[in-house]
Amino acid sequence: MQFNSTRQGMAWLHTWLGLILGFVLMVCFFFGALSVFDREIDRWAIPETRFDPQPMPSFDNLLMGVFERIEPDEAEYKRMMPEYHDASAGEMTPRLELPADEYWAYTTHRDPVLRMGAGFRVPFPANPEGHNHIHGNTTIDPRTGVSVPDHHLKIGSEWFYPLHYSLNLNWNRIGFFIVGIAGFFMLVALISGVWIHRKIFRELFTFRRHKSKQRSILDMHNMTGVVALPFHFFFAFTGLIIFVAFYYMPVTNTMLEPLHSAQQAIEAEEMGLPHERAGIPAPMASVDAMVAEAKRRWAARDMAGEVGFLQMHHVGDQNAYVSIYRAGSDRVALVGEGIHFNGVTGDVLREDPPHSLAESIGDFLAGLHLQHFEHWFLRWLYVIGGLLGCACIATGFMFFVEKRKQQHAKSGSQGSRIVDAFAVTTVTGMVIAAIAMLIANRIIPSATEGKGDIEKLVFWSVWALSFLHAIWRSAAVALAKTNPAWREQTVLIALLGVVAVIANWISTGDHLIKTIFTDPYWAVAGVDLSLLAGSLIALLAVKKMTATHETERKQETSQKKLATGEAAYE
Amino acid sequence: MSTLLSFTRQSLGPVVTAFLGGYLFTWGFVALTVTSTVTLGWGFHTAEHTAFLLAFPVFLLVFFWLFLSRKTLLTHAVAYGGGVLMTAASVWLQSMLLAQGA
Amino acid sequence: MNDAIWLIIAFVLMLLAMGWFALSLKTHWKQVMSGKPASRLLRSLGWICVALSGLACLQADHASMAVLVWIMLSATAAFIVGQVLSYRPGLLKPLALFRA
Repeated sequence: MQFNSTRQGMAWLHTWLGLILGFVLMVCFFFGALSVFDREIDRWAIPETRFDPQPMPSFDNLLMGVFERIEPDEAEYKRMMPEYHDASAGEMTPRLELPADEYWAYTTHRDPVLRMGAGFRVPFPANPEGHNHIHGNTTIDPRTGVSVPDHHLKIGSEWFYPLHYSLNLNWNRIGFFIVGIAGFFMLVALISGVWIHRKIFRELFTFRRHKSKQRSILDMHNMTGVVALPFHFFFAFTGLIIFVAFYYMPVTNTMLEPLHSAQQAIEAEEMGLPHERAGIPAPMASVDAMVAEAKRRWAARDMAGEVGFLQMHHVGDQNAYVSIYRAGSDRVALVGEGIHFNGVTGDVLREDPPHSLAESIGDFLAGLHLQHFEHWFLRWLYVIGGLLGCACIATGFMFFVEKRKQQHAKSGSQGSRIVDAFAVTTVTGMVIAAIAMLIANRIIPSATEGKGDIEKLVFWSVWALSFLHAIWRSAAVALAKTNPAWREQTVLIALLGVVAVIANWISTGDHLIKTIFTDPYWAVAGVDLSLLAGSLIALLAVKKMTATHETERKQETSQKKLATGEAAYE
Repeated sequence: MSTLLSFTRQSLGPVVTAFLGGYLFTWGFVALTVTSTVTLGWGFHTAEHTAFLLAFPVFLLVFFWLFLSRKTLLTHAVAYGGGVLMTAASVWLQSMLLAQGA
Repeated sequence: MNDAIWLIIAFVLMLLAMGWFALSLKTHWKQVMSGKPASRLLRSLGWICVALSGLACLQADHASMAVLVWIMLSATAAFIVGQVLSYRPGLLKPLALFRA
């Protein structure tokens, strides 16, 4: 493209790509900020699981019994069994008679419940080289070993969290790619934004809220963008890095796959962990003793910690081995410091070696985004960073509209009107949809069939309604005025936030006095307080908007008077 | 409607060609970095991590270069051609490595 | 508990740093005081506080975590100082120490 200067080209990129992809980025930043507390939102949405996080329970006394109860998943059996099984070699094994080959259990310092799973072997496999596992999962209360109903939608970790990287559009992973492209252009927008801004330091603290609306919006856009620039940059960058090798640029999983597998086979051989079953049955040694030894070795490396992930391979075979990984806690990178034990003798087979420099940098970058660490203060700082990102994108939209609406009103263009309606939908509409989903979750009885699907439906339909509302009320923008939908939807946010907190109180009996003072449970108290804080911010915004509205009206009447005065004079 | 069309042709077009050129170049860059460093004896995962850490800085540089340059034809030829060449080189290196039994 | 105290100290130091950075700029100094700021001196004070804040972060956490806390604190503190200058600039008066 021909621009008169680099600066002009940068300005074009920032304006137009920021506008088009800003709508996607808004979803990434807002739901990303909520994902910082995804497990806590899960507790709020599934009251059955409102108890304190537990360490990994005893394997020998409790987990083993649970593992033996796990059944292969019926749907997966139906789908995969005919593919894995070689009908000419022998008869197909019935689902409940499949032999277990692998067990795993996973928890974090924020999870009260424990997720567990088993991988079942397929006798007479069509491809003996392949993995050939049919899986089965369960979630238990680690205090008792009793299964917790797993059919409830975990709104935090299974809806808001995937929304921020896949938009929950799973058809051909299209959502991942849209977010990936948006993430790349986020980096482009940051670089071009810095390029065109020039007075980065001189205007870092500048917010002239008494100047014109356009000026104060631009100040806010610059401030929220610049103060959290490292956050914005690194979250877009690390988000891209996390998925690049799998989805965005799968060089080593497609074109270089032959080299990749060949190298992996060499590495696996060097690891010395048995790749196949021996075919000789053998009893298992005490896994609790292995856990104790793993913890002792971590402590000796000055990184004492709990078990986060435990995996048992080739269950019941002479080649059985147990891999024990450390839970994320005091460091950014979740490496796991894996220690592997012989499952029959209980001896240590291997300790994972430290990573190379490039891998360590990668671990750190992925770790700073995925936040497995234990640090409540930093989590809140991340939420602030995410919300600053949202404010930056939202003010970007508003500036785009403010700058053009007078001119569009004169020329009769509908451009700024449409952009503004989209902005209302992605700024206030998105918040309304999220809170509406939480309210639906508290109103629909827990035993309702397909409760999670109804909640998802509420989420999408409320969001769609907010768009229709924004379009319906948008005529004002074409006359260079403010769309009243901004104010109306903000009022709705203020109301819904309070309704959600009350709905939680009525449906579970957990009100804030209980969750803060008499029987503290910060996961639920935190969600409630955040909802109330949201309401409060919405109220302040409404007050500000009402004031702006008044000035706009006064200006309009004085202009009219002026016009009639001039007409009389003529 | 005509403004929308001309906007698409004159402005979004260059963005798309710069994006695709950057992508292709980076693809070749990543592939060649992995295969050449593995040839030099690096571990596969170290090579892979190094290549992907550099991928987005390279992608961004090429994107801006293609989008902002005045000699559009030349820069696009260099980026697309370079991407294809590096990809071809890495495929060749891979076949050499596999033939050696690496 | 000790960690919490170090983090609070780190936060306060970062607020001081951002306050001095802001006051080293003529426009913001004028919001608080007459005359001109001793820009270089105020800015040096700011940098010293940024460094000390980093040390306080290191006292609380493992180095890799401390870096993140430090960067995120700088963002939060800068935003707060910006808002203070817009709504209650008078709050920064105690920091306006050195006039040129």
